[in-house]
Amino acid sequence: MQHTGMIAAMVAVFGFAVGSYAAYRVMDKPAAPPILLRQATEPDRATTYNGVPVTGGVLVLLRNDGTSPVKVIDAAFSRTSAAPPLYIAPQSVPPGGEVNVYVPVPGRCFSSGTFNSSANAPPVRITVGVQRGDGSVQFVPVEVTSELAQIMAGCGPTGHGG
Amino acid sequence: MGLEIEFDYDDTEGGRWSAPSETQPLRARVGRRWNAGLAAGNPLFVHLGIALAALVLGAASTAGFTQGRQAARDRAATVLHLAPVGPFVIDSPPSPPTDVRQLLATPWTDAVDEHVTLRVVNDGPDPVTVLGAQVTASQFAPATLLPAAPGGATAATTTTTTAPGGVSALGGVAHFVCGDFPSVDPVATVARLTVRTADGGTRSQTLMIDRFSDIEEQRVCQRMPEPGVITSFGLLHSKTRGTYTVLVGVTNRAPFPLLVWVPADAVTSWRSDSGLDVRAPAPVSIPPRGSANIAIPVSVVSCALALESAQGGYGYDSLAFADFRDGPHNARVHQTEQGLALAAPDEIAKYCGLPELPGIGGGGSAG
Repeated sequence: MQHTGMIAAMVAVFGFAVGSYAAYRVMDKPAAPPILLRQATEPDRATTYNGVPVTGGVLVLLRNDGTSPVKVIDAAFSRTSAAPPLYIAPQSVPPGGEVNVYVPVPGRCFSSGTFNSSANAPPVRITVGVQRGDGSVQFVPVEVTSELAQIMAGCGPTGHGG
Repeated sequence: MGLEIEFDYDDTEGGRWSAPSETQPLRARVGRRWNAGLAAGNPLFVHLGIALAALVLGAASTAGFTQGRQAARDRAATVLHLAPVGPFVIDSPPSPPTDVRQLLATPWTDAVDEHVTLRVVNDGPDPVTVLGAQVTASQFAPATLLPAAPGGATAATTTTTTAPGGVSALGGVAHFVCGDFPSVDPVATVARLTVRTADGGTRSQTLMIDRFSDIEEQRVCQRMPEPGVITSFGLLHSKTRGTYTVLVGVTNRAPFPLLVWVPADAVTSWRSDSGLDVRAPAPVSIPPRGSANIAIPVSVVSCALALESAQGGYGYDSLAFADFRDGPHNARVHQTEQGLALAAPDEIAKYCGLPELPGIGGGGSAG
């Protein structure tokens, strides 16, 4: 019985150590931060690309406000609508980095070399496919204002207005 | 708890094994041993129990410590970003009057105060209180922004805690001096925010609003009426066909002398895109609040382009204005330009004839 107390104490110390380590390993894993993509305050010079009439479009600059790099895969207005596709060059965007999305605008939205747009337009929402690390692709909604929203309000995504 | 006492009997009778001992089944003996092993007083069980309790205690204490440390970190975190919608808005000055008389009656100024709104979203794990911000840009003096109440009023006492995911609005006034910004590489518009975090500490965070200060800031100065006002526009016919002179009257509203000239790129554009040879006159100096007439000789060099230009009403930035005191070739001069339609439809039609229609020959001698 003399050794029993010592063994019990050693077992307790060992158990505490194992438990602490296990809990540390389990609890110390930082929770995955959310993926935050937002429209950046865009510079004037990259807003539009309308070099060829009736085949122009709008560049929308997005910014990674999250804390980890993400890879942008694709973008769309809506996966079930007839809205035109959006083009995005797949690339890794570091925290604070920016990436352009090209939104083609139908020719009927052009007149006199400019887009038909409407002032005080509500924001439009696009969905961006984003992958973090080797994880699955997540679809992140991004609210877009400024020129794209004005074009959407003035001409609509299909060029018919509304 | 139970205590099992095992008695050993001497089952021998005179050195001979008694029958019951010989017939004790092995199963019974194993079962007895097994029951003894399962007894709570077994030291192995005691050790296991202690170890399990220690495990649980260690896990719980470490988890608590980790959580507490993370919570302390969260309370001191400031993760602010520009709001998704309307992050930075500068009110626009009213549109300048289009009527020349009204414009001449309006005192000239290059300074304007405009209300600025900055919206930031709290992406951190805990609530924060945005106390204010200092916004710097190349186009205006550093502006101090204060929290905006729901009604729009701003005050240092208007502090509202912003929950995670919430948006804080700050407002203030920016003083623009439109002729004052240097024409060097653009500087980013930056906000330095002062934030009180959940732990009671006050921290700072810097946000870049606009890398080139292009969007909101330049719009203000673009709407400021220029010092030079075109008060008259006329044509002087020439005996030489295809040649005429545009007479432009310009009045200077500013209290400083104004330099007016035809920019070289406008001359190039008129020639290459509109088929007109524009001979730029020598720069003209207009005294403070004075007027001057500028004569611009024009010749048709391509009828096809000139007719198209006249029909389309092309107008390039054909007159440039600058403060005469800055000198004409100063790289840092604040230069403004105004559009002017130098393609006179009647003169071009007289020289070139009717526009060429499909299947019908036309055009003048210069095309």
